[in-house]
Amino acid sequence: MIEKTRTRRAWLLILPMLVLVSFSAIVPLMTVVNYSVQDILGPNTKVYVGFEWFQKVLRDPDLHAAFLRQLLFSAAVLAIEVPLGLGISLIMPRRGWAISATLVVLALPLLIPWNVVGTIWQIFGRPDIGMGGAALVKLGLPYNYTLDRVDAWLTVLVMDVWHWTPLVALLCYSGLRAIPPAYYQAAAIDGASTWAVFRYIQLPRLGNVLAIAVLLRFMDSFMIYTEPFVLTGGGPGNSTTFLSQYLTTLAVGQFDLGPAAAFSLIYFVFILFFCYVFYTVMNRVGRG
Amino acid sequence: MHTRSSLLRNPWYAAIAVAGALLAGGCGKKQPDAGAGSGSASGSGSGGPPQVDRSAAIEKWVNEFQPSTLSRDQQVAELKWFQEAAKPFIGMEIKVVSETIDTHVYESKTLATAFHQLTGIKVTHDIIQEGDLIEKLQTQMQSGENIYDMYVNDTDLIGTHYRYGDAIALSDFMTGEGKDVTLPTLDVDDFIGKSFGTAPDGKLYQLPDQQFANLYWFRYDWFQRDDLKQKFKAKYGYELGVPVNWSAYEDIADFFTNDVKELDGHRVWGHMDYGKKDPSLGWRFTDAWLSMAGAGSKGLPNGLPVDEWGIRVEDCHPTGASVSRGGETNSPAAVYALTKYVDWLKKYAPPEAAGMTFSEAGPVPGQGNIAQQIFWYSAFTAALSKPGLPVVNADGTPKWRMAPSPHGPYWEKGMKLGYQDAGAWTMEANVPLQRRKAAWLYAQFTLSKTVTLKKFFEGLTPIRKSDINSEPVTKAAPKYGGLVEFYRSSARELWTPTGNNVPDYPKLAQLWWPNVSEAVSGNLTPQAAMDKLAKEMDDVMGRLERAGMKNCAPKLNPEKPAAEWIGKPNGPKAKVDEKPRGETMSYEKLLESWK
Repeated sequence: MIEKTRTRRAWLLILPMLVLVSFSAIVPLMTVVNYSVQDILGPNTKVYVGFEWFQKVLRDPDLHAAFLRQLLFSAAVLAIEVPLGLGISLIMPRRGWAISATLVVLALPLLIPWNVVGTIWQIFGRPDIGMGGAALVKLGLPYNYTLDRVDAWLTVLVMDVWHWTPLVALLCYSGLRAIPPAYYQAAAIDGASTWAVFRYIQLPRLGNVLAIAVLLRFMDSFMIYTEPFVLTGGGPGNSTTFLSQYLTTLAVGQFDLGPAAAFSLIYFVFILFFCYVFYTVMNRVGRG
Repeated sequence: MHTRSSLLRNPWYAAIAVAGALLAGGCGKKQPDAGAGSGSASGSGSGGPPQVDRSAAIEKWVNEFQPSTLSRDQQVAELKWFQEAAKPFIGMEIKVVSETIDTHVYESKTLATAFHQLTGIKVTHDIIQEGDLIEKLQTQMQSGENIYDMYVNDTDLIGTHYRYGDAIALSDFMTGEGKDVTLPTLDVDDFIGKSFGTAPDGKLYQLPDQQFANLYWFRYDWFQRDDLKQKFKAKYGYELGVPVNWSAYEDIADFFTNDVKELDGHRVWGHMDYGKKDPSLGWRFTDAWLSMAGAGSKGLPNGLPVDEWGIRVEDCHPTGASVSRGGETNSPAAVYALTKYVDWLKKYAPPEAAGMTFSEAGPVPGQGNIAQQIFWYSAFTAALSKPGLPVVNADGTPKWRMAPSPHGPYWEKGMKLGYQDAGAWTMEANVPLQRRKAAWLYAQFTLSKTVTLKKFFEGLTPIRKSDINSEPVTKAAPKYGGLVEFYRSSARELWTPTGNNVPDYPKLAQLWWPNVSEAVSGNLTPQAAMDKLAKEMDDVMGRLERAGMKNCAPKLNPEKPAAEWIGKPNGPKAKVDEKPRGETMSYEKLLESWK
């Protein structure tokens, strides 16, 4: 009986949080749901359209292409940034002043605002005045990220790797530092090779940290907007137009609230689904 | 309940009140001209607005507003009228907004301050990017929330405001509920862009505050060089001069980029443009590029029944943009316009141009390596006239000139030829009447003959005939590279903003840049890109038809085979010879023809 009373009080205690969440998340979400079934053209010009926008969005070939582009981009980001970040963390110094220096250098790209990152790479990659772009042209490579789709893709990818690999490296480094020295001492006694230490001690102990790193990088890369928008504007053509740019053009550019709301909900469900799958898989791998 | 006396009995409250009073007094001393806004606040305790002698403010500001087409006495009389008319609104604070150009910066920094000191109405005049302004306006239109009391909004939206019924007809307001706050000497007929803000019902909804045109820009000094003239004539068989048609523009672009290549040791280019996937890429097309090629019907300020976007209107109802519905957005003329834009960008412009936005490309001609630009906004006149630039002579006169844009092979006499941006005062219906009246007073202040000539010299965006024809402008004309001559000529009537055929400018304008970008990248052919654009425009207009609009909602024509429309009277034009012989004329002859 006493236990039951305690449980009720506990519910009361989380009430403020529920009220806050309902205002910050549930009410806005319901507003989006409301918009998604209407064609809103003006204050007095609204029409109920049912699931028309959902059907339109799901059948739009431009959005299919953007979705595939987005998946490919996220896959490339994870394939490069996670191993690279892990590798960097393994060779980072473990003692002395070099630790602080390395941490500061690694953290620098993370401190730069996203639109500034885009601007830096926009100028850096310019084939006429950019240090990187002009150097490639000098080497005889026909590089021009504003006209060539492959160049644009590679530039966006390299920019993201430069910007976010340090996050993965820092997470892995903190995970490595948390491994008790006893494990290394036991491995040394057994005469384990560097590879064996990595495979059987470091990698399993980094499981949770890597799961967080993969989730964070997946979610961020799947929602990427500012950097490619500033760097390429989504071009040339649609080659670097990702899902969030479509959404922004619809919602902010055209102020087309109905289709934008339907698209947002589909986008939200996708991210939720992928995160759930990732989390489950990573958990199982960790337990296995 | 805390009353004022009980609050003051508390020593802490009393101390705070004393400190506040001292601070307020200090501020007042620092800003003796702060006007009634601050005076009203400090005087509210004694009841009623303070009595402030504002004649000193008139003296001060009349000196600032020189030159003027009015005599000093007439200026003083206008300013006194503003003071009288503003009396019921003393102490009120209003908010207005406009885009980021020099003219509006002058208004925001100088005219808003002057108005406050003269009338006691405090004005917050925000300056934001045009895209953000449209966003604010749309939010106000859709939510009914009063974000700004008045907007300086491009008259490109005249068809939108009229159809949604969100804007107040200024012509009605001036004779009706706003009669007591309408300047008797406003002289609406003196405005050169009056027709741009006039809707199909004949009423004025938007009154221009600034205007600039999209013209042809070229290096006059290079075009005068005998060696280049001879070389050009030997290759093309006609004189190097101001191109009259697109064939000549193309020949000149090819000549400078591929034949001349270098002048005085510098690489030169025969064309400048921009092509980055960005909302500003849309302006490159929505600002009358198709009509320059010749798409659209005859008629001013916009073609009827088909306008410069290719939208067909019948009895004020938009009926479609696709050729299959009688529009011209994917007609041979429109496809030709897109094809030439892409070709010239890739063949004749500097390689980096394809990665630039409007604002990045704008200053490039000032660097001194561009021979000509077909799509150049005269808003850049001041920026390209600064002493020390490679395109400015030692005596301060420009090495360049502006001239009417050449036209494409589909263009016919009687059509509009180019684009003119006209930012105009626009009043939203959801703003309370008293606030509208106060804002309208400020709007008229920025448009009054007392200030407009001074404003012209600050931003070079003329709005009044009386200013353009004035003596001070005649004296300054040589510094402006043809701007004054253009605005004095009847040719300017062929340069107009987007017009009444466009039922929802924000939604439809956003469709252009993604599709144009697909053509630039080669992902779609120009024909496929324009087909896609036309269909998307029809889809949006179909939605507007379904939802209904207050006035003249779209009524889409049923789709028919293109052959049933193309080449028919008032229908989309059939394909013509797209490379006629180039035609040019000397700049001096052009000026003569304008007189």
